[in-house]
Amino acid sequence: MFEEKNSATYLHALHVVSKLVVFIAVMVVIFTFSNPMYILAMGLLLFALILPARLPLAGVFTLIKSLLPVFVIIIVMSCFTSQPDRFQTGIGQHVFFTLFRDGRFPATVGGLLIGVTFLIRIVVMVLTTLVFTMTTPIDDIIDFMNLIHAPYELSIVISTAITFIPAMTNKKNLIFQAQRARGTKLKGKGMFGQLMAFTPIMIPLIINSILLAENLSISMLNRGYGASRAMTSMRDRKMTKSDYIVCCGAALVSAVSIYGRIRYKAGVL
Amino acid sequence: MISENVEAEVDVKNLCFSYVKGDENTLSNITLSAEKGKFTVIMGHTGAGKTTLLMCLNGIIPQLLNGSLTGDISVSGLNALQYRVQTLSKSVGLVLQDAETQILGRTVSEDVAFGPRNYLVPREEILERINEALSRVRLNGYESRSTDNLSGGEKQRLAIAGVLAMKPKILVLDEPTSELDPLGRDEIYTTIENLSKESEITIIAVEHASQDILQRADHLIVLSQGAVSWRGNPRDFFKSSALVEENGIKPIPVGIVGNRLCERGLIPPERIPLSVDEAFDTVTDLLSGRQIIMTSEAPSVRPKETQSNLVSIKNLGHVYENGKTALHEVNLDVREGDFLALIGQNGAGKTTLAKHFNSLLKPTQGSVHVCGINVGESEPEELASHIGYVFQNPDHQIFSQSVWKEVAFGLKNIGLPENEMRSRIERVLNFTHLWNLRDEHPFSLGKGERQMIAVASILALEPKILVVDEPTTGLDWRGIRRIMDLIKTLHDNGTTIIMITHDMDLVAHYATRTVVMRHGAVLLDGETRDVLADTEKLRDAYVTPPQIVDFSLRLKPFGLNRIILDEKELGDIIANSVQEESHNV
Repeated sequence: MFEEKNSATYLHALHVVSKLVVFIAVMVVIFTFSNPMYILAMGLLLFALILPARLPLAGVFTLIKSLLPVFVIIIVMSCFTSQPDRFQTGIGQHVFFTLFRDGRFPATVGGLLIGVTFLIRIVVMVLTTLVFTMTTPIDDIIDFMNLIHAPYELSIVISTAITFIPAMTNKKNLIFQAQRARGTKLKGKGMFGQLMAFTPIMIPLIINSILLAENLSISMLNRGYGASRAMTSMRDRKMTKSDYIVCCGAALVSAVSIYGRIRYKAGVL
Repeated sequence: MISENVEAEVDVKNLCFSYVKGDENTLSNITLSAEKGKFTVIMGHTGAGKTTLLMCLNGIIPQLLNGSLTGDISVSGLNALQYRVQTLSKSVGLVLQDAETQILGRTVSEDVAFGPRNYLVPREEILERINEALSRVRLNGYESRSTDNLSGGEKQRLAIAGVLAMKPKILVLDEPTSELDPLGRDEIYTTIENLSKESEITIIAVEHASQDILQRADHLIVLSQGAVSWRGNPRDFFKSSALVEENGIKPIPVGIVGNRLCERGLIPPERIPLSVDEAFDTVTDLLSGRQIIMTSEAPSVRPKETQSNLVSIKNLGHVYENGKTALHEVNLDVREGDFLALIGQNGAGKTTLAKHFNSLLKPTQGSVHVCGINVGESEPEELASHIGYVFQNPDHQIFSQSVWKEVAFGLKNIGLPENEMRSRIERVLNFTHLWNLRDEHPFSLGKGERQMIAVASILALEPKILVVDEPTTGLDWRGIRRIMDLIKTLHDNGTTIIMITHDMDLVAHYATRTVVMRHGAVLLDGETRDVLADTEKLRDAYVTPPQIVDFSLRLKPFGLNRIILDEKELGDIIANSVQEESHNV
């Protein structure tokens, strides 16, 4: 019965180790390059791999959409705080204009692109983490933690965090509905207004998340979590041929990225 | 039964506890014990210390929730103050109120397995335990189902199964059935009763629903202000209307009838019935073959057909994104002045239907019009001044720093001028008895008061229609009466009420019209007394009629020609019949 769910999609069927290797590879790629085009390519490749699994990811894009004003602030800040000499390429060093006549606070193309890079990194990280948590049973993660002899406290933190996600998502939906039902407008004027408009969501969300975290830890203790340093393993999952192919692919992508970055300065601004 | 003897499975002596920041003791000098295999129920008003007491039994207090604790607690021979929660949890299984936060697995079977796995129970045995625990709570067949897709009631049953799979010697439950329909509640308590009898598990449960536990519990402990205010046989407690009232506990409906007969000097206090069978026997004896003399039928309380439709639903269907059909072919009109109760088992589609009234959900088929507005083409914020929606959990909407600001928030959203806003807030705070708390931080107040703030903030918008979704969950009897009296006053003043509830006594007492839902469709729609009398269809919808309706139906052969929904009225009819006949004789 524990195997049935894992065959839900090909992503569910992958071994937790394979997923972790892919996760690490994605992180290597997005932090190796600073040119947003390279990271965007990685993001699109990832998206193309995830798409056929038809995971319910609509909520992520709604969340990202609602954070757009914050993203714009980040890009603007990055644009003005990155000096031309920080960049190695001509395009990166190019200055659109300066905020003051004496040349202070130049708006650089490199700064703008760094801001965009930062944003794409956030989106890719959120997406990767979400897909990992959606397709990996908590048991697999705990088994893996046991396998690598991870400290017990770390296992608790990770398993609580993962358990927290669906419960918190549910809370968030209920809070949204409760606020909208009494006429809350979640669109404000300007960036500051937009942030303020979310106060009625954020405050109950924070209060509820604190309560939720406390209740979850009580529940885990109630169910004996931590009674021993291991848990009964409910399946004998072994790496399959597909897992080895995925791991090799991920390792290859990482290696090529690092080589390209060092040898040819690829993806550098 | 509970006694202070040495054989006790649970033994608490002189327990006092105060939370770190609390000035007063949450628990004061509690002494109790429970024998193996017995079923003890703890009742009391909100804030009486019931949950705190339960959490002391497996060490959550003071190990996780800190505070100052004195006294002795022994569970299954272990000193609860000397062992880790994980060690105590092997013997003491604790099921808390909020099922949502007790689910720790992605699938049902993963969740049930979580407990035994922590104690390194062999895999094969865990699989057997999963089957057994899920069968006990009627969730067999759900093993591979994602826990995200379970209804509230199913989650509550899963939370119990998760603890049962750990095979505890003592099962401690904090309002384990608060979100369940009547049949679901009955099933859970039957399961609990069987566990107590067959497996000799000691059960300690906190419960507000008096009827569910009365015939099952061996012992009752009533807490008030953190101390034991009464203990003994539950029947002795519920026979005394004074005790029940004094402790703020919900009375047994046929007990109210019995108390009426007792007040009229027709039966002695010890003969006050507490079940329909007992009430029937008592009345049979009293009437001794005579007939009930009926008074004229009360006029219909429902609004006339000529009154305008505020909500008009045509062929409504809703299919969720995951492909689950929640509603199909729903046709319903809500007239101005209706007090409509939406009932049905968990997952019948009640909340899904109600969320279409203010556009929180859009129809995937058919149409919904509210006050002439097509909901499918509107957003919730556009409908907020026409239809108010009070959610079950007030903490999902409260965010302001004072009660005043919280109520003002909705009014600012609709752009009301300052003067009008002030006068509306003053009016609604007075109406809801929150005026003296207007400067308090909402989170410094109790659950009942926060629920009242949630209602007040919606009322300030002066909607024509008010939807209340399980408005009494988690409230004690006094809180329930307070909120229901408020809703009744609103209805009397012209607000149309749509109430979603599992509490059949509330339906009987307050709703003028009742709609029964089953599998996403309307099964019954009519005047409350007629709907509640249709026991056959109610059974199809897995709904149990309230005790007073059941009793009324049993009295038909004695000439009771209509369903009486008010216990005191029924008591008076019986008493009048007996006394009239005696007088004539």
